[in-house]
Amino acid sequence: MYDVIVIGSGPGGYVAAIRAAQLGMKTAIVEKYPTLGGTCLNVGCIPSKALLDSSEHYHNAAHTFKTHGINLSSLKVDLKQMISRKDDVVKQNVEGIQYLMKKNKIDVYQGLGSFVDKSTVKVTKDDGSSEQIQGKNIIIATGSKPSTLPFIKLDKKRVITSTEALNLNEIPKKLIVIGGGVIGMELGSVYGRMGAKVSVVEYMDSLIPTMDKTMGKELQKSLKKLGFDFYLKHKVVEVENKGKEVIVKAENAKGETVELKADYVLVSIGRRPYTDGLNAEAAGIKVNDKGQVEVDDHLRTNVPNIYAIGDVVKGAMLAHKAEEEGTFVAEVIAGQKPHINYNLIPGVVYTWPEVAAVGYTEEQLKEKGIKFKTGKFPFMASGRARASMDTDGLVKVLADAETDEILGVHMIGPRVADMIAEAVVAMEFRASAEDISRMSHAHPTYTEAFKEACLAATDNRALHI
Amino acid sequence: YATGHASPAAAKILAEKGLDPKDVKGTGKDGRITKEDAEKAEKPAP
Repeated sequence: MYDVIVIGSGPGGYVAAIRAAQLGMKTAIVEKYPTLGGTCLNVGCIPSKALLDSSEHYHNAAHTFKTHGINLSSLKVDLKQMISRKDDVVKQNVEGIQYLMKKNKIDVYQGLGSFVDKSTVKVTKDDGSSEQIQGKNIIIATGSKPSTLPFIKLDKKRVITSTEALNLNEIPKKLIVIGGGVIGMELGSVYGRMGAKVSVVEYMDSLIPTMDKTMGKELQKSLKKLGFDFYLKHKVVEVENKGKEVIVKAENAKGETVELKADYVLVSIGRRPYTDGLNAEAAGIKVNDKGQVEVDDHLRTNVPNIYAIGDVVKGAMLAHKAEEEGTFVAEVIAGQKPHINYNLIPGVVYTWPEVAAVGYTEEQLKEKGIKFKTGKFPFMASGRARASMDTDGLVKVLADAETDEILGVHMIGPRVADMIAEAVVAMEFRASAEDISRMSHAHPTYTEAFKEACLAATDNRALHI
Repeated sequence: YATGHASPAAAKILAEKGLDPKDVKGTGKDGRITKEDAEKAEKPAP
């Protein structure tokens, strides 16, 4: 009998397992894929960042080296090598998780985990053999899968999801990205930088529509420079694979039909919670009509000894959100009282410039009727950014009009994926904009832009603009 | 506004002790409750 069984080995699952083991609980983890790590490590965050990094190197070599005083001849992309290096990175990370399981004495079961009853999980291997394990507590961490539209047939050759986009054997001449969200903009960038003509078809009126509107606008400007074109407020109505060509039809706001042709179409309209084969009903677990496992504030399902975390429950589908929830649940099971501030989980888009945000957006503050001040600082005015020629973007700080408390920080620019951490810490301690602007920031660094935006928010007294 | 605000670690300790951050004096900047404040905090005598 295990104290804890975790079903799913993504960032939520394996972190939950490690934390449970740290707290002295006998722990097992069940994974149906041959490798641990889940979507993030195998077909998500890690491989996409590997390709984003490689393609950005190529893009710099092709477009900025000359200005830097570096002359190259016969520059070309070896896509096979690029993908193979990405595979090595994935392999190293997966092996790292295996090592962590061993180190923490967590039993790993490879096979599909499904409920037999509320404390029994059947593990079915690919060869059909199965065994049953029992746990006092069970954590569902089965994650998500790419979603599609009912009329789009994902053939995985020409009409692809993010998974296939990480393993193409040629650079598309023309790539249509359906959905202007994070995954589409990242993978669109990978191939756009290497010469693909990228067209983005998005139903909403802005890119990355869940983020502050300023971010979507600025990202659109930057991607336009890469040669992207945009069909915002366009509703896709038909996708047809003609063999070597795919035709996408979309309706614009006026109801007119626009026809686009490309050799590849990436469908990135979101991800859906994944519970196929889990047999949740055998344990009496409620799954809502969106396919999410229903949980209370303690991430407990309607069955008291069964918890659920990550993409399979409500909330932002982010690896670090799942990780926080994994730690949270393990500690709750151990009798502790942890908390998660969901408003302070940062969101990052790994395009270049990067986009990162934490706290409320301007639109949310307006909707809530909260009076706020705005401070902005463009990277164009940053000495560090000019030195590296990464001058696209800005930092935007939203602070309470009366108390000066920081309510939201939105960044688009170089290395903001890492810079956002300062804003998270500041907001966890409820810092005011003035607090940040009175802290020393190393010069020259990109983070000075955050200090300057805080100065601008406090009293409109930025120094360098 | 930050007076009486517990840091993430302090908030967890206070929750486990069953203490309300309002009953704890914070010694951090602007009255923020630090981890040390939470560790030292005791239930007020009824």
